[in-house]
Formats: sequence, C-alpha cells, structure tokens
Amino acid sequence: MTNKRVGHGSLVIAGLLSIGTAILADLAIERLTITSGLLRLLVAVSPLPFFFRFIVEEFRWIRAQDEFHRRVLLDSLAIAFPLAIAGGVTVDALQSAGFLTRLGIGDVWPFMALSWVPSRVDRGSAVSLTTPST
Amino acid sequence: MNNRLRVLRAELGLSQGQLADRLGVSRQTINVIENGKYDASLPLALKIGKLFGVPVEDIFFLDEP
Repeated sequence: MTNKRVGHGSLVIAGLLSIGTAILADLAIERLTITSGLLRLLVAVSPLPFFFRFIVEEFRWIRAQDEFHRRVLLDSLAIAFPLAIAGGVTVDALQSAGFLTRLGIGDVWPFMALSWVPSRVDRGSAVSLTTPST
Repeated sequence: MNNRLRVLRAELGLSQGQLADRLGVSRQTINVIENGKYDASLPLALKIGKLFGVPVEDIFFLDEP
C-alpha cells in the first residue's frame, strides 16, 4: 500500500537492452563465422543478464505501485501471457503446416511484447484510469 | 460493494489527490473506489476508517439484494 513513484525510464531501457542484445546475438550467430563452440554458447546466452536486469526493474516498478495498480497489472498479465503463448504456438503451427516458410518463432518473439497492448487497453477502459479528479 | 467515501471526503473538504496522499495510494485508486469499480483491501479500508474516525462498516457496505 504505497504510492512511491518509480519512473518507467529504467524499465524501458532494460527492456530495450534485452531485446536489442537478443537480436544482436541472433545476428552474430547467423552471420558471423564463429567456429568456437564455447564462443557461440557465450554469444547465445549473452542477452540473459539483460533479461534478468529487466525482471529486476520490473519487480521494482510493480512493487512501487499501489494495490489497485498491481491488480490492473495482474489482470493485464492474465491476458498478455496466454495471448503471447497463443501467438507463438500459432506461428509454430503455421510454419509446420508450410504457410510460414520464412518466418519462425525467432522472428516473431520480439513482437510478443505487443500482447501487453490489448490487455492494457482493456483494463484501462475497464477501470477508467483517466477519469478526472473531483 | 458500495461505499460513502466520496461523501466523507467532501465533508473533510479533501480532493481525491489529497486523500490519496494521506493514504499513500494514487488518485486513480481513490477514484475507482469511490465509483465502486474497485474494492479496497482490508488494510486500506482500515486506514480509511482510521483517517475519517469512523468504523469501516460505516464506510463500506454490501449492496442491498
């Protein structure tokens, strides 16, 4: 039950760094000729510290919210998480069925964060977050 | 669940923001509680009761069937 304000800045930066390093690692493995198995492994897991950092920042941000906003986040997560999984499963199934020959899960996962958008819109309208003060 | 929070707040002449600051929550939280879109947790309800000096059941009550 706190109202301490924690900005989105560090959360956004951590998120961008996570996605950015994951894309760079993917490109490096695909396009650079890295013969050493150990080096390939290190490049492959190099985004992990950034993702862990993102999780830490996310926890800090969520814990700084009051009970109502945590409830909104929880409800949003309940929509976003299955939506992201459904998107991944659908892409995988379409690829297996031969409809997506050039796209794979590796191409679409950066966009899974967008699954958060409809849930936020839904919860935002449901709870009238923008109602004026009276 | 319904509540008399808006009435009690008006009696004290507080804005939603001022009440939110005193309770340590956001203004939006006060707004959704007053509009019956969110039920305050027990700790928050107790804090509200203490702030207004009235029992919780005088602020929050179940809708009539």
